[in-house]
Amino acid sequence: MIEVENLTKQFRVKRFKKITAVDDVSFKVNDGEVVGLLGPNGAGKTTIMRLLATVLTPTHGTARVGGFDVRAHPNDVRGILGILPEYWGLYERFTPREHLRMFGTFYDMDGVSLEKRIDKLIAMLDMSEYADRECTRFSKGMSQKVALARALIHNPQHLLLDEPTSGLDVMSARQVRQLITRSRAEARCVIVSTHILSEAERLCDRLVLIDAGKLVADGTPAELMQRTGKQNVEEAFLALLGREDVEVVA
Amino acid sequence: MRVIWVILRKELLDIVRNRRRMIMMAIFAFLVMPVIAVAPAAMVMTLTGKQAIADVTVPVQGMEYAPELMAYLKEQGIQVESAKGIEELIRSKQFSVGLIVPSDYAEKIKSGESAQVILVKDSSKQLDLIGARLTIELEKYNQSLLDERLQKNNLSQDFLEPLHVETRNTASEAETAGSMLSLLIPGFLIGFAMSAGMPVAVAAVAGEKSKLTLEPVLFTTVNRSKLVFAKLLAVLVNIVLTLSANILALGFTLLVFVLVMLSVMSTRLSAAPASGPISMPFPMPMDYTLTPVMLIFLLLLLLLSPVPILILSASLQLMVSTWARNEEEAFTLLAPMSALSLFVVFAGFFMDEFIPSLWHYSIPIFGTILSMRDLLSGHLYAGSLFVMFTSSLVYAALILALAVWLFQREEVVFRT
Repeated sequence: MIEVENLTKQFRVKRFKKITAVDDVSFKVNDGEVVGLLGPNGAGKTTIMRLLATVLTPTHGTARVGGFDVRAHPNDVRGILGILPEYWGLYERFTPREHLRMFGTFYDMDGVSLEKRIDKLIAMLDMSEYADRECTRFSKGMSQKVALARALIHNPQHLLLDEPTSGLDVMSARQVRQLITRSRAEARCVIVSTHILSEAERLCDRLVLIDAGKLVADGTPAELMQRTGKQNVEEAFLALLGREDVEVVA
Repeated sequence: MRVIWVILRKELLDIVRNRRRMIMMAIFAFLVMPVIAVAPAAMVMTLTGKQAIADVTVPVQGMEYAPELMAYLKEQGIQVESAKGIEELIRSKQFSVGLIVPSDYAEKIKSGESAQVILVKDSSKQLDLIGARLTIELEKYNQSLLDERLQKNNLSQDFLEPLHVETRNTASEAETAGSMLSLLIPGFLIGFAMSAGMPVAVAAVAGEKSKLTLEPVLFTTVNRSKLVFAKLLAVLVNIVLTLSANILALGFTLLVFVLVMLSVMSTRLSAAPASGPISMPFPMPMDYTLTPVMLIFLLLLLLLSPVPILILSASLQLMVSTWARNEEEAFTLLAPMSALSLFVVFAGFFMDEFIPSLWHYSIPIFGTILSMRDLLSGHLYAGSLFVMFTSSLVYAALILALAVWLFQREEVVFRT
């Protein structure tokens, strides 16, 4: 389970000036649940992800991942979380297999079990063709898969996925969706940050809507549509943000 | 330990796999450096060789007034040619040097007066070896005339030198050489450590921040102190490897240099046996009057003495790289630090009268210079060496601790 309680994060931008990136946000993700973290650019989604990943420390409030408090037990939290960042951050001169081997070592994995896990991920994400090629000139999809495999190397209990299908072709996106569905079946918590509302509607059990660092709404897609009286998630999303005047330009 | 090894291996592989960088390094070390080192000297040597070997012809105005002098010059391999308008001949570059013998030359020589010959040359010419050679031969001829006159008047050479000044050097050859090398070697090492370590230190943290490769590592359970330590090791290993490669290249360069010089010298010796004794164009190695065991021990200490300063330099670079937003900022911050280090090195040039106290050995870089000067001069002061080693390592540890502390701070790690 992932529990977020009154989570607040402030950044100092000048000597006496602070901005609040995340403002008193609370929500819960149960085991076997996929939650979509939605919001416009700069809403605070990535900051929440980083707070859960323990690379940022909350100013107020806290969060617990698998029962571990992010403030008190950051290393335990990192050990059970698999994180796919928005920017993959791959080492250009290393192969996907080398990436996986290196990150596996960071999680104290080694030997045959690590190699087996690497082979399994390469097969699962259909990466065998380029598993031993340096990551230079990889397409978006290839890079995304390497980053995803890296996030899964230690078989994490819970997943934080930032734009997991962005840039992927139809087949690869489908594979990622299958992976998320399988994670749900395996009783893992999955938080997906995405801009693709149709995908959020299809994949997620619940949607958490963030705007300007604040929690705007938390509910199932059906609940959000019902609350706003809209026919689809996109319209409900705009209504909840109070930006219904935004028109689609063809 | 495994994590440290994995990170270190990753950093080193990243350097080695940067093919463009490796090729440039190899080209610089084994091609550019030898060419830069050898080409100018070889050109000068070849030119001096040619000028020395060449059958030199000097235009002389009034050669009929000094037949003995002309005969002497011919004996020395300098051909003389009767000419007029010497200055114009030199100005028009037809000759590089000429002589004018006044009509009263023979008369003045005969009467024991001082006769005059005018050497005409173009001072704007940088490498006028014919002029230099002619001057030497004229001075020799002058000396022979002087000897003749002294003999004629039953006078000895002492007559011309009532006061003879003799200089005695209290410093041994090793001390003199040590004094010179103690300025050059630390300067070379520190400059080298800064330039070789900087790209790796900058790429290891600031570069990873820019390329967004650091964050995924921070998501893992890897210990940040180990991460910083592994990166420090990577910087140090790179400095040592690059230094070794460059010393190898320097050795290769010196070998090429010596071979080229010897080739030029042998050509000169065989072609111009009459041109007098020729000394080696490069300094001979130091002659230490120490026992072999003591010499090996000193050399070992000499090799170890810059290690703390290299660790200190690498730690400093890593700390700055951690603090910097990106690679550009890291390089900008590190440039004045390199200049400051070199300033301390150059300060050594002005310490001839300086008698160091023990605490001076605790000044970073300066302490290393002092210690290396002692060792290169053949002196072993255990106390000062201990102060230098300990203080530099303490500074390095403090800076490294600061780097680790910075690495724990989110406002630094995410300062992009």
